[in-house]
Amino acid sequence: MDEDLKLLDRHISGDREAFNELVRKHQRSLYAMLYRMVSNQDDAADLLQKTFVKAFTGIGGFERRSSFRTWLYQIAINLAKNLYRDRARVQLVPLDDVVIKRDPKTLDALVRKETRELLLKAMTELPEKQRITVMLRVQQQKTFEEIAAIMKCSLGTAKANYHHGVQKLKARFEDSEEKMRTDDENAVR
Amino acid sequence: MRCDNTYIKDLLPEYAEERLPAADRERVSLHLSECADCRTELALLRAMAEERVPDPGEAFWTALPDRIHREIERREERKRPRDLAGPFRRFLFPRWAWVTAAAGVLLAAIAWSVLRPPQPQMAGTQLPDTGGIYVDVLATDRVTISELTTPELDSLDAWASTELASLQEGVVDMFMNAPEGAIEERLADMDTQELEQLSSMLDADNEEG
Repeated sequence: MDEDLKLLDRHISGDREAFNELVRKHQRSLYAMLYRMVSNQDDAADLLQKTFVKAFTGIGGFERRSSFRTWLYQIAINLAKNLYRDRARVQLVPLDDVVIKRDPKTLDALVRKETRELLLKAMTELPEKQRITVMLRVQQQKTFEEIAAIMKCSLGTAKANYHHGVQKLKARFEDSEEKMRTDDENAVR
Repeated sequence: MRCDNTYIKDLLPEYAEERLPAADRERVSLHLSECADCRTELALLRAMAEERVPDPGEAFWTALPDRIHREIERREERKRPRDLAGPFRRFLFPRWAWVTAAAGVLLAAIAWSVLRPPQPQMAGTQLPDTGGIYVDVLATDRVTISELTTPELDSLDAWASTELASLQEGVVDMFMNAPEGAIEERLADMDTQELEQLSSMLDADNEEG
């Protein structure tokens, strides 16, 4: 039997230590996913607690057709979706506010930072299912099979959501790069 | 130019994480050397994966299980129905006492209906054959013949004749039809009253001749 299911059975029998072990086992990966969805530490911490509370109070609804981890992810994603729709996403840091040192490493770091920020902003503009799929695949290292189980869709749909999402990110990134190049050229003139 | 090789694109995240088996890693590397679109995509994937997740600290992780457990207990406490009789419960009988009392009452009712004394029988039962009034000797005190009225004597005589006649028939039948040796056995079984009756009948038969 799956290790999580054994711990779950022990928890249902009243074993408090089994409960603690289940929380400790999944808390960090869940927190990372939640943070990537809502981009805010306090929100991510709050959602993490709500995810576990909802999972354990509603344990009767867990039919064991998927893994316990998948079920936790489903609950977490649903809670984050509700919050995500009402909150502002990643705030870009304008380059004007940053002190630029004439140091290639700093500039490289800044460019990388800006690239990352552009990407994160582009992520927030993706359709919800594509955004979650790309995040789960790239940042949570989930396989397509796991993503299909979490998102309750077919394997083909999971792959399609991923590829469409990445295509849109690339297009957005290339537009931004083109704009940056044009701005740089104008600055040099 | 956009690349449509979904097989390679599916492997890019794992390639970025360096988790591919050797054969697949070589296949992807070869493709990347020829495909700008996939190189761009790989760069994007690496940038996304590099996004750092701030750590809330060890104190947060250590306290989390207890915090969750307390919240669960709070919710379960809110769900429990309020016991309005709580403060007064010690003045009420426990439920088992009520059940026991009800069972006791039921058993007493059943016992009373089964064991109650029978209704006394009414004196005076119609005699089916003679038409006279049959006095239940057992239900009344002993009477002497001299106390009986003429109708009562007539009824008694009729009854006695009927009873003795049947007895006489039985005795004659017994002696006439009994196999040899059985008569002596039968006589040995008869009591004094029966022997006297037999003797009277035999005397009466002799006189009639």
